[in-house]
Amino acid sequence: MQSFEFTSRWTMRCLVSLVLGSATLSAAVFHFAEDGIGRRRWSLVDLHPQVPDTIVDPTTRSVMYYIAEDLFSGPGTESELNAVKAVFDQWSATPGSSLRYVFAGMEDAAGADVNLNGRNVVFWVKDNTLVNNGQVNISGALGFAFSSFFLSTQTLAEVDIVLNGKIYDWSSDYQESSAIPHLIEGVLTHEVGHMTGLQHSPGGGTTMFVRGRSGTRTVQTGLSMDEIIGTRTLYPDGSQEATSGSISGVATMNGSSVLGAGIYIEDSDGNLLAATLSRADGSFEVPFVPAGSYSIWASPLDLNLTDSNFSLLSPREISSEFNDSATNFLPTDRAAVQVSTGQATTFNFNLVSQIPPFRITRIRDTSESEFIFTRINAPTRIRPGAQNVFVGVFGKTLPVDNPEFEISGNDITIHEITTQLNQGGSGNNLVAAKVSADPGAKPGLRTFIVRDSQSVAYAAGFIEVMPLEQDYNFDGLDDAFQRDNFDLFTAPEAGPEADPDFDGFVNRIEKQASSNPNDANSVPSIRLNSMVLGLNGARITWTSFAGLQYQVWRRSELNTGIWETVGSPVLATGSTSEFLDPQATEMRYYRVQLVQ
Amino acid sequence: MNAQATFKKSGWRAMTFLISMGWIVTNALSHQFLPLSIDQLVEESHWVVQGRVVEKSCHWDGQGRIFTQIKLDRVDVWKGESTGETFTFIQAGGTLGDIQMVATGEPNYQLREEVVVFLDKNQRGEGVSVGMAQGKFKTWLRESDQELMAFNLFHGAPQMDASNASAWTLAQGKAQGLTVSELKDRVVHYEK
Repeated sequence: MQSFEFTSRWTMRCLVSLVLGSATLSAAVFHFAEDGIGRRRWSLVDLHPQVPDTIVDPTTRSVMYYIAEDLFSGPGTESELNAVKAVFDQWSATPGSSLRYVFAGMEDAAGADVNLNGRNVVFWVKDNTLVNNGQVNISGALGFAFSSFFLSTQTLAEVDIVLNGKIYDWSSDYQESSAIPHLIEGVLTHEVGHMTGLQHSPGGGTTMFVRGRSGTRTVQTGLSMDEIIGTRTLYPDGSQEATSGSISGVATMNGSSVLGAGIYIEDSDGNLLAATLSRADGSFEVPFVPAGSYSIWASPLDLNLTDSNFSLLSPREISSEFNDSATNFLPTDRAAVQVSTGQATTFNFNLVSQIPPFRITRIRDTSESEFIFTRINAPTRIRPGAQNVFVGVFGKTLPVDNPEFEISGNDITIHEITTQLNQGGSGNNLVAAKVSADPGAKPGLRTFIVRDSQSVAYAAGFIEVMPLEQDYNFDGLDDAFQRDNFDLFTAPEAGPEADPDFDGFVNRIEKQASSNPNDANSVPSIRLNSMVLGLNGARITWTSFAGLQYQVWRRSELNTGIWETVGSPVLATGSTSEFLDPQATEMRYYRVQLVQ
Repeated sequence: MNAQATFKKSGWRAMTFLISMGWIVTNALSHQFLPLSIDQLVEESHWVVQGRVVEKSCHWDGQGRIFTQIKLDRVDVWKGESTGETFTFIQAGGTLGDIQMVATGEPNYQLREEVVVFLDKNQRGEGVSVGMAQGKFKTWLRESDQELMAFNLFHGAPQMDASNASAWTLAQGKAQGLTVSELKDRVVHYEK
């Protein structure tokens, strides 16, 4: 027998019969100044005297941005406005960084342009491919960031972002799965990375990788650890020094420094932590690496080929600065490196000058069928718990005679490896495998590795173990819940501790309870799981939400008498809580009240 | 079996065949560029000009922007009206004093660089690179046969030394070279 009584929005009670003893109740690469030291960024600590307060707020030290009022689909298209805001909010939420972007208002569409007008503006060009006062033709370009900065210090002065609405179609629907239209959040997150001061990354699944896929197929929405570390480096908030160190070194070959050697750092779970390139003097540095054990290796970019069937990432795709990167050296093996708090760890590479016998130049998109071979030049992904799916890599000269094939980390099992010479007549050999991912596989960017007796090839970060729950704004709350219930999933009212319907239950709890955070009449329910009367008293267990307090009440009669509290409120630490009433020696009635 | 059913079955057979042959290819999208064909470049160009970069100059445009004028000599105008022995066009960005402006995706031009540029015509009658970096082809002389070659982001092949040539062959099989004469022929004889 059970009954539920709701006497107010703040409380819920459950009455339990004692008759039945056991009643069952039903989450980089930088631009450098000529001195090689200064990195391009916003100056938020020491304000630049020539950067106006409409660009950097001198009080909050935030970077201000404006959005052209006509958006893509027209004025008032709230979903597009929110998509743009969500992108800036995600960068602002980067843990360990002081970077903050603040929406400053709408820009008159007629006045939206690329110029040094004291406002950072995001806008769509819709009536002409000639923009920037006729100085840029954006045919064949999704958009671009126009950065103005002080050359001597690389201090950013203003950045305008132009999106091509003249030729291309755009969508704010995160669930859009087709290649067209282009996902605002996908492209703009990357462009705001440039606005933040980052260049393209050589890490496959990073947001700053040069290519992405549209809609739900992309693995590049949301910031990877590479962007997080890059943003921390440019805008440290002082919170990471106590727990992190750095890795730096020099890449040389035949005694000379190497430009553009890909340097990759992987954590103990096999996830790509950071990807960067050696500079002209061969140096590289990755600051703010959490203390721990890592693997590090160097691998060349591909050649500047024009047929992308044979190039996964070429130097010119990073930037013109890396056009002349060294591409003909043997990838190194992965070496162990230890990072200690506050310590600078040095790791130098003495590279071997030789044309790599093979390279990975295409990825096989993850498939449940062994007969589907979708070749992509972008990252793929796998879900934790996926069983017997097929992954692989392509390359013109990949070894097909018993090569080793590996995916970094210990939680993806490779069942069997297959190879195909000139797969499908593509000119590429295939090395593939049937694999399964542990249900608890650690989310992150994994690396494909092919090895034979001569050499090794990597596709660093080109397979993402997907998170069970996305948390792109780093607030600890599942984005899906926030996207489902709020127009702007990064808005304050969508935050885990917000209570937009004033029902006493914050979003974090409403998510756990699957109740509606915008409906005061939709509240979490308490379910009593069991009540056991024994020699030590009555033990009551109920479904609870961690962090909340519950008060147990009792009375002797079901319908009469005074309810009295029993003991002090119980602080729940998990999904179930219990209370022992040692005085209970006979049948009583109990209710449990959520008191927060 | 009706016609629709027949079509479905044969379509499925075709798809099965394509799948089994591994012919499904998906190119991911560049965050910035979607390749323009040479025909598209020609179509969108008012001028197509071959020449050598001999001068670059930066200016304020009076509306808060820095732009760069690029001057070519040894000019051969493949499309559009000729402007004499030199040709000047513009691009966004540049450096004046301590201020530098950069439009991600705009090409770099080096002095003495030999180029073919595909140019739109703006409201002031100035030439502007079509598709940003896509509108610039760099040219180089292939020593083996003294053939002048051209390449941009998506067409042709860059110059390489012997080591790189070997690497190219290993990686791609053969250099997909684009001669300047072939490029010019496609421009001059382009038909809508």
